Amino acid sequence: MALPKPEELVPKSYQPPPTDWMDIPVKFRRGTYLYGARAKNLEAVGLPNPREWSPEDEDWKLPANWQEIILEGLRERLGRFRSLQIFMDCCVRCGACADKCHFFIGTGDPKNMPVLRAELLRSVYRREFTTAGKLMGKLFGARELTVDVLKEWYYYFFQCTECRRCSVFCPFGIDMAEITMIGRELLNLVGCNIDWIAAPVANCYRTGNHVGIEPHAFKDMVDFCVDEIENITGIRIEPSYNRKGAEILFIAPSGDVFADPGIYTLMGYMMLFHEIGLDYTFSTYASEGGNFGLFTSHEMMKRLNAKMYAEAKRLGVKWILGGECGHMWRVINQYMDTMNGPADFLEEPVSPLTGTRFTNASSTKMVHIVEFTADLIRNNKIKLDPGRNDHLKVTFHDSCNPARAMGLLEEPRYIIKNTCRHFYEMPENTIREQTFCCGSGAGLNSDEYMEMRLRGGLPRANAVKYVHDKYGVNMLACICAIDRVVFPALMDYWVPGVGVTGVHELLGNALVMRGESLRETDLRGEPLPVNDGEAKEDA
Amino acid sequence: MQAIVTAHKKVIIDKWYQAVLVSYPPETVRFLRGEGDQFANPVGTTIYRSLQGLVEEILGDSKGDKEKITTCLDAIIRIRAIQDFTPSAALAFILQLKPVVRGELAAAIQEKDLSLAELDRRIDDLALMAFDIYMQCREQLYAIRVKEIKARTSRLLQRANLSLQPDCFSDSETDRRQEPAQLTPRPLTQPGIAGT
Repeated sequence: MALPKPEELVPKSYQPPPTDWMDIPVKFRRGTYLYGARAKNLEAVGLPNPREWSPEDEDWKLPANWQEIILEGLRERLGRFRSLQIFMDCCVRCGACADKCHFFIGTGDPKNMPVLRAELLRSVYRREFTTAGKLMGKLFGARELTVDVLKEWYYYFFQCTECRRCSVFCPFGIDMAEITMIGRELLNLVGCNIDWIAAPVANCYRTGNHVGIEPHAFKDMVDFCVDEIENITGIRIEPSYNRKGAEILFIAPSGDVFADPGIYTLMGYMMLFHEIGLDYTFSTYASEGGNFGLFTSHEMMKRLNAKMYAEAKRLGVKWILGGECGHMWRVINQYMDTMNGPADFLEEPVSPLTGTRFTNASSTKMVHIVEFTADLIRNNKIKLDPGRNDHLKVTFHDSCNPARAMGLLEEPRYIIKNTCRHFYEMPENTIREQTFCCGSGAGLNSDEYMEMRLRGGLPRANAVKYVHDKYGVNMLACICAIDRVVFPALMDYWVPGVGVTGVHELLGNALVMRGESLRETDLRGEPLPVNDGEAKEDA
Repeated sequence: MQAIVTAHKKVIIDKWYQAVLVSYPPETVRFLRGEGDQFANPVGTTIYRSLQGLVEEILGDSKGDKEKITTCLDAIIRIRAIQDFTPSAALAFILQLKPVVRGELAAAIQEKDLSLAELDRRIDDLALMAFDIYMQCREQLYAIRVKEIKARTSRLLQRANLSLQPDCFSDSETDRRQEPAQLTPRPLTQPGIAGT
């Protein structure tokens, strides 16, 4: 047999497919799909069709009338969400979104173009809900809902991080995240969630946090940080848990309590609160700011979110302060008030230190910590020594949700610039509203998905590499717990030599605390740089 | 030979790039070829820039700087190693340089009776280097996954004063240094929470 020629080594399947996109079935290859939801995790919250299954199986063990269930679900949602009806009808396929998705850029898979991802659902909508689609079928871009279509939905709706970058460029403002959310809701109707979302949802419902940590272990982890802070600063902090009558309830993402490097961010929060004498309490029940219900269904999001207000009411606090998290703030800023609010039993948030009224949170009664801290710095209420971060050359990743869902662009930069002396922006078209996603958000941050995550994270990492090569940037700051968990892997592969930090870790390092001993290390136990800087003048 | 190659360099790079792009779907090729911004199109611009560098090193008059060649190869392979390609499809682009050069220089080769043996040898060397880099990337992918799984539970194990992995089983010195060893373990306390 003759040896193949080099060009023959390129398998045909990677050549331009001769078939229409509708006829290319999805292949589930390990590393590029997420495991299916375990039965016990669906049962825990009463979701339909719990069973053991794998996306690689031919038979997905769907209910006999699964098509009917999904189409009825779609009909109901078209009535409930005016936005969905508009998004199904108004796309003119101008292509403005096509090359804006980090998954399209990183994978090169055309079905990751937002226009085509939406078309996965829209094609079924046309077939079932429009006359032209019923009559003309494929000619009108319509197709039947088959098992292959369902599998395609699963593959691609769990390959969208709901980051909303594409919506910034859509002239109609079509929000791909909302289409993905509906796609996932429909999949959930027949038990086709991913386990990395279903398990945190079940855990959060039972214990109040994604990890499933019970109150004593939560307290223990926070106490662990108390010891560490004492080792580094000589100051013993005494946080309180579930304390009735505290002025403020503080809720962080659980990633800051249990995962590296988020735990150093938690230390930063606690050091700040101690230094300014904040009257706050942790809750061991509302022990999670994140909400994987957002990635399951509107109902599940509402259910999990309710614990925040319930706990605020039970403890009798005035308002809620929230930690550095991403999707948590999308839920709070865009959904909480109408889902579980208005929280009339709480007061409009006012900083007890500066008297600043957070009128932007007058309805939700929940303030983002970077707004709170930026206000403290602005009013000279804390003393900072940015020289302690001199060994760091920092860049800032605008986490998708705080940036695009609440416009939190200046506050984190303001804190970083006051706590570090070496700050470098990434290129303009990769930050702020145009920020590139980490590629692991919206519940996709599972280890079995690492290969796909590296593809999705490529555009962001590429911009980090640029400032790393040009300015020697060695630290990537962010205000999202998922970012902090997933970026270390992404940096290891694409830009070795760049660490990951929360903004409040930088603050904890720079914060000059009254009565502290001479610091020899930073919060990670690394020796501090020789400090030739002047501490910022006290208020 | 050098003069001929220099005159055709730009065309060779463009044709080689085109040969690489064929491995992507047509909608994607339009984007990879059309978008020139390195941040909007990291895959296309990185591949093009690196092919350019490789042509400079392989077809240039010097013997080729190994470090530069490795950097260029790494940039392309690092991307293609985690994209949806089989190993052969990911690396076939190197061997595709041979027909590109032969096609472009055919007339000159015939006219001046040039030998491409040296060039072929260099491209073969490149293929072997590429194989090493590809394997490094894939191994790194798996190592990163393991590291992430370990990091996920290390805090909780540390809190419980448990260690399922003696130091001697650590992957490497580097891994050991990166463990959060600075934090002092303390025993778990009993539940006892105010206000519950």
